[in-house]
Amino acid sequence: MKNFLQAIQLLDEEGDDHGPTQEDLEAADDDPERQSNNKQWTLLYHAFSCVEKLIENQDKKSTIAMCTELGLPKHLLLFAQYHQSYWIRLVCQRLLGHIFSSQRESKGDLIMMLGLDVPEQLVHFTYDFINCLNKPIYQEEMKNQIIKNLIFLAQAMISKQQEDEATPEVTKLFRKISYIGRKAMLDIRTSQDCLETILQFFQASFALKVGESGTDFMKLVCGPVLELVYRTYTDEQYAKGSIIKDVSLEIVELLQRDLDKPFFIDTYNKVKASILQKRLDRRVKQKQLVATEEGLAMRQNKRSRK
Amino acid sequence: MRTLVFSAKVSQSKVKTLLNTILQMGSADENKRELLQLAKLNALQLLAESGTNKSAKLKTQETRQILNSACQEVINAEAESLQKRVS
Repeated sequence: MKNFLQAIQLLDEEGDDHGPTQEDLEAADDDPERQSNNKQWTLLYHAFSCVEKLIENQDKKSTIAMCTELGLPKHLLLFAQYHQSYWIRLVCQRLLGHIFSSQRESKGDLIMMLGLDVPEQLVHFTYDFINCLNKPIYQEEMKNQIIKNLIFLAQAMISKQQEDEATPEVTKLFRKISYIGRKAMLDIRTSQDCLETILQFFQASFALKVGESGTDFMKLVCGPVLELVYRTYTDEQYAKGSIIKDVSLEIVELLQRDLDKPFFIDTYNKVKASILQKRLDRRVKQKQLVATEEGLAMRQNKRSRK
Repeated sequence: MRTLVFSAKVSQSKVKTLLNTILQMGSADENKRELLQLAKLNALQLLAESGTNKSAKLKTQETRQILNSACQEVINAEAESLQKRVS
């Protein structure tokens, strides 16, 4: 059993591999630190599986109420953000999904179900939740669960507050997500899963509503969304026909179709100008660095390495 | 023991008997203790699935005991240690 569980382990330290190789497993047997690590996540995984099976097979509402009493939702958020094992993060995402779906069915008090003290804490809960995007996503199941959970939290955040209070928080949330996506683009080898998740979340979020119409919501998030989408849309590193390119194209078309034309063109041009200005500033800085003595030393270092 | 734990055909009463046996077993060896805890969590998972076949659903008190066992013995301790590492 232990060997089986070790064989399906997906640790971040494995780099872009989706699981350890036989050599890794043999090396792990000799490494006491990794061995103890495996033990910890194995027990933890089974403990979470117990909770999941209880929710799925026993009375959902009362089981979730007991989980709240034990402070489980906050732990789930913590493990989903930071645990090194993919499987732990995935089971925590699923358990959060169970809590959210139960709230939707029972129309219960979400703040209470998550063990929060005041409604404002939901904003922090959501901001913390987006840290999950910083960890490798690997599989469709994880991607879909993160998107569903994020959509639920964004919707809850909007409906918990008054319209005028919710708007800056929503814009800030999308700005943060957009930033995570831009940061992920720095490494083409690992960015794909993260970008696909973020772009599909953006696309799905257009169904959310603030106030009377969905267009108001699109207006709110158009800037932060374009900050990322303009880059993925124009970046030649991502192949034509890939999910990233296709979804980017669809997002731009949706925004263009549903928003006021002057508003969309104005926002698009502002975002484009700001990105081009940043690129220009970076190039100027690089040229200035090259012209200095420090830059000269760097060039000499490069040449000597060749 | 492990064959019993992983067989979905085992009745609820047999799993409860097995669980009691596991609970009574103790060991000074850390590896054996870990294996016993793993067996216990697996038995609890089988109990958590009660009600899907012919067996009755668990009583509220039993659900609470399983949750307490999973949360207090494993999840809470791990959460505390993870919290310390990230903060």
